[in-house]
Amino acid sequence: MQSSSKSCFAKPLSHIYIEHAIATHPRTVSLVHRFPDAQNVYIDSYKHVFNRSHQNFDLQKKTPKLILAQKQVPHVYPFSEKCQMAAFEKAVYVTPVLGCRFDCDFCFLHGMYNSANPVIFVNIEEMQTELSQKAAESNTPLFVSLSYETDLLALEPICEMLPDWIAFSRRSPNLFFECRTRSGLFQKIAKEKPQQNFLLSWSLNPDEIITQFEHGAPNLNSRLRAARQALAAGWPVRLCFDPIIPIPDWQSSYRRLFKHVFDTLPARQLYDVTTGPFRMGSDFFKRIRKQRPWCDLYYKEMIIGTDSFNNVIVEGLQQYVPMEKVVIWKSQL
Amino acid sequence: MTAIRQILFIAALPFEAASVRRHLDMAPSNGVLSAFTNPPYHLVVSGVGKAHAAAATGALCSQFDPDAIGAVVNIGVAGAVSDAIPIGSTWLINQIHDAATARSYYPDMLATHQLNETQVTTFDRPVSSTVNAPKGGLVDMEASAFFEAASMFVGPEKIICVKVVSDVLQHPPRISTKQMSAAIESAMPNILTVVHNSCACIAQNPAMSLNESHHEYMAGISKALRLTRTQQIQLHQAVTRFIHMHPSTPLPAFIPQQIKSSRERNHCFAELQQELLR
Repeated sequence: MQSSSKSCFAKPLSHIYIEHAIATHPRTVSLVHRFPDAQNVYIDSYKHVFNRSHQNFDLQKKTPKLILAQKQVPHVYPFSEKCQMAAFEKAVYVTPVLGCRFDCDFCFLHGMYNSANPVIFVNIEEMQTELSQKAAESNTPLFVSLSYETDLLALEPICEMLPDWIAFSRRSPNLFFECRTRSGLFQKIAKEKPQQNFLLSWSLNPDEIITQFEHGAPNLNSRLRAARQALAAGWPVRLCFDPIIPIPDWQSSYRRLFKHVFDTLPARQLYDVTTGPFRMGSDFFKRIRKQRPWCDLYYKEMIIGTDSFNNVIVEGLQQYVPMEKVVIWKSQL
Repeated sequence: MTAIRQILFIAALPFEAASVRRHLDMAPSNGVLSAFTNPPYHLVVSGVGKAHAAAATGALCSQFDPDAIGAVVNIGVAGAVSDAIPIGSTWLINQIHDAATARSYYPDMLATHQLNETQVTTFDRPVSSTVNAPKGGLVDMEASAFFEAASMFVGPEKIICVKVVSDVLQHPPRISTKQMSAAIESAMPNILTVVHNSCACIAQNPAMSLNESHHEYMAGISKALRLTRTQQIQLHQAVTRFIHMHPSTPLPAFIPQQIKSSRERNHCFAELQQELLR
């Protein structure tokens, strides 16, 4: 039996699955136009492709296909109280995209979704309308996470969606957006006017953890370069040292990381810094453990004691960042 | 380390199967169904219609450990809805629609290939006019049932459906069985490219990298220790993890012991598990 393992995979985005209902939506047309070589498959509902049972997440990650769909109501979801949204009383998230371009071993999406093929919901205007209604009903600013189940900036070369969200934030002073990312693609939105209610957050980890666990994600310096450009342009920037992964001698790795990060970025200009240990719901954990038997995260003791966390991470951050700007995830909630 | 995986073909009619048989030099094998084999290739002739396709697919798949299956391939002729699709052309199916249930099925299109792609709609009865036909693609009488039956054994990344166009609904009659058989045979190199590339993709998934000796190792331990189903799954995970983390190290030796109680079994299994997960 002959096979060529190097070239056996179809090119990423070789197929675009398109719901009939949004086949003529301008965002669909534009997206399809940008991938003329892709095979277009028209479907009734994205769930028929995305939710199929027994899909192989890891193989799909090697050759992801796009799914274009119409998001049905509800468009806006409340955050669990466990998510700890810092100073905001009310926090919600929207899902313009399901799934991520990167393949991080510690990501809960592996346990949450059957498929590694990202779903792009093209009807973001309906999400925005519902957000406006929620904002009007709220007497305090509403925190909105845009990248809770995706990495929107990393997918920007495909989705081209962020300029619309940034424009919407300009019209919505009572909404405070966060776009969390591991990408270095700030240039994709560099032309946009910075919005003080649109927070760009970079998830950071030492390069040894990025190499081992954050497959396909840019290295630390790429992210720092992007964050520095965003700060220089006037965007509010958050840094997320989250999750902290206890690899061997993690204490030294993170001390070196903090030094490198705050030698590169002016800590005083940051909006804030968040941190928290590796954590995951037990259902997702068990599912991923089964899917990824090669991943140490799910087989070795990965718990950091509170004392160690405080001594290394909290005190480490305090050397560079004022304490009032450090937001720590607390497991007691 | 990669095992040679079994490749299972299901064809409805003898003349469809004949092309596969000839190309892969298969010999008849014993059994109730008309079947042929030349390992790792296996072929069964199902007969026409959904029930036959489902039964034959299930019967063939059930003969193998799902991990040992590389691909389950439905190969056969289909009608084209419009004459935009030429008679004798070969198509890789990316969407299967069942006309009776309105359900749709999607093989994972992981592998690179040189075939054109389209969708097929499966009908319970022969479709002779365009009255009830779908707007495009092909029509057949087996694909949806084949897919549903194969899905009971393997994931969508291992299910492949290939159709050769025998006729166009608007313009009967069809070409002769001899011509169709020749068309399938000439398409076999491209079909096998899809199948082999698909198997090569699957082999790159570390979770599927167990070979026959690993399965024998696990079966021996399961039998000796009389492992529960949960423990068997845990053993599978631990072995997969071990061969990924220590690719050049042999699996830890297991010396069968006489197990007198479930407590002893659990203790013995825990020790082995600990060694595998080091």
